[in-house]
Amino acid sequence: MQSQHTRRRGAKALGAIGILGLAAALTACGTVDGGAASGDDAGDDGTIRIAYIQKQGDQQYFIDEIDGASEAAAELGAEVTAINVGDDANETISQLDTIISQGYDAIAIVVPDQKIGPQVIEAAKKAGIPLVATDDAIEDADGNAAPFVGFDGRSMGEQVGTEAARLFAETDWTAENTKIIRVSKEDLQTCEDRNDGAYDTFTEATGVELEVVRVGTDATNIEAQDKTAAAITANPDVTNWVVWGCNDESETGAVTALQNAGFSPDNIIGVGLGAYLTCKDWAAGVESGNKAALFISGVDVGKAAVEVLVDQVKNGVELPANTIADTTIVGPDTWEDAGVVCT
Amino acid sequence: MTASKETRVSATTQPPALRAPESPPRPKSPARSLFARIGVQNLSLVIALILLIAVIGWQDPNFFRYQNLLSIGTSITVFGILAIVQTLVILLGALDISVGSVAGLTSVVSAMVFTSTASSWMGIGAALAAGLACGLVNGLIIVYGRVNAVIATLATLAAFKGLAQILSGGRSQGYTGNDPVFTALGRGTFLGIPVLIYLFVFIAVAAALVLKYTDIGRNIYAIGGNPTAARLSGINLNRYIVGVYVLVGTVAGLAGVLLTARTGSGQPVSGSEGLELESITAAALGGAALTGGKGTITGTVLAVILLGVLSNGLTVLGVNPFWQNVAKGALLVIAVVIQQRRSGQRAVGLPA
Repeated sequence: MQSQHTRRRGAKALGAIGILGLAAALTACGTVDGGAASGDDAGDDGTIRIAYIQKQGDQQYFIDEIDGASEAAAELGAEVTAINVGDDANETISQLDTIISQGYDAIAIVVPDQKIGPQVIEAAKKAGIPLVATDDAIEDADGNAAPFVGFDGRSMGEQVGTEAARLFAETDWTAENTKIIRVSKEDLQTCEDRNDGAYDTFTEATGVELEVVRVGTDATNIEAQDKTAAAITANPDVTNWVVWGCNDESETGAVTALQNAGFSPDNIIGVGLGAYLTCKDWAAGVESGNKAALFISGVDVGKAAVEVLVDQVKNGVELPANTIADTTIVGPDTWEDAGVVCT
Repeated sequence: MTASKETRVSATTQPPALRAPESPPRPKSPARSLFARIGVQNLSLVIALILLIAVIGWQDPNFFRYQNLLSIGTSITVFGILAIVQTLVILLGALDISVGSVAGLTSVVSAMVFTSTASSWMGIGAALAAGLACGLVNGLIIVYGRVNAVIATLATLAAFKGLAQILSGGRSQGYTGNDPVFTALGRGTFLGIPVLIYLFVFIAVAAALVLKYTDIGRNIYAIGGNPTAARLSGINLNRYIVGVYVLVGTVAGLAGVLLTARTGSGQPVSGSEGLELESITAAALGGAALTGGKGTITGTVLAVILLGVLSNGLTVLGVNPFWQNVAKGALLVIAVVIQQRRSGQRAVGLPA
């Protein structure tokens, strides 16, 4: 009995050491997934500590954003802690409270839901910590926007629509033999904005009102493939397709489904959004329906966010209301020069 | 309760399909013998499937186009093969929540190994080996760590997903779009039928034959039906539990390879997240009881097809995706309620 107790106590101690070791290892890694567990006190050595809260922090775009932020921070004598809150608004508020209590110097945030804007802004203001919203703009209870760094969602869609219209004008396609596939995650407002922006600009630029086939997905490539395959079935009389979606997964998935159904790349105008998947066909020199994509650089946004925050903390410069990052349309010949990272 | 346990134990001596009707043998008419072969449980799924196809086809005859039927087949393969092996786990009375993460991890592994070795077979082999290892980890944690299967695989669901993200840096990896082997798996056809469908059929038939005609299959039913009786009759429970999890891991590895083949690159999260719930949904809809010892591969396959037809059909008809979710959930509830009420349980307390 005695020996069993000792053994059990030994095992417990071993377990505790293991957990401590794991925690130490994780903290050393720099980024913390779902919990701000950094142990140091703020600014002892003059380093500016910035917390970057992100929705969907495991998506490539947001990972790029953290890379850009960390890069800029290293140059400016700051450090960035990344916190991924997925799509969870409640988790965002909890993490924000943790960050404030740990005395971070500045906060950058991509909210999973713009409705929590007032709580976020209020909490940061009360603690006297400067905050910028990136990618998705937020407002306080009185409708005053927080300083914003990122892109304009609707204008992103408009650029996609303009490029699709340009490519459409080079063909002899007509409203009788052409339809648009619009892949969207229909419960995501930013996604809808992008797609609506694309349609309005396309229609205005071409003067042709094409019928739209709406494909609702969870914004993954696989579901875009499966749902588009079904949508094609319901439209057997269409010869040419114009395709866009709210991210690269959506657009490339729909193009793959069309090609699997026997449509030639010549009968598809696909304009992606992000360029990180469309670039794969181009890098491999494979002809496909992915004709162009809007390149949005998460790296640029992350960098800009850190720059304005450090400027505020160090030099007391007021945060600019809007810092809009550049976007560019890229194609098979231009993606490399534009700086698209194709893994 | 006692009666149902006895029925399950009897599975050790009877092939499962014969056990389903649970009625004394009578002189059989051809129709009756057909029903007996399909099983009452599966019959309701067949009827639901026929009704569904009739309604969708009546609304839009394009549904019956050959190309569309093939696209239903390719869309169900990945979650279909997972549902089949999930059925084996459920028969044991356990669950594997980590299959989606394993598929994501192995998708990344297949693409990364392929990119660095330029050999698709190396990529596929590495993915299957990684899947096998994940399954082994699950099995060992459950048996030797004495952790409940749901909790253990819930933990590895997170851990394997994290591993996939660390390996890939969260980025999609590689490009398999111009490799002949991956292209053949993802969109190749043989005799006009997609390779994906052959894989699904092969795995389904293999699992069904093993369950029905081998000692291994009968022992799996016995363990799920009554583990104590199974152990006392000399079955090595640990070996079966670890073995089934290893099999599930390996098949999840194959699912990862297929995800890579279909999307043209290794995806750490996109496309694999949620596969665990889809596979459990299909197995439950197919009549597998989460308490173990009851369920068939035929039922699961019918459920997979039913879910595939539903998802495709609702999109063909242009139904709003929000309503598609409601329809899927409603179908599952109705099917399970019918199955449970048919089993004659009294409506008291929590169901068995």
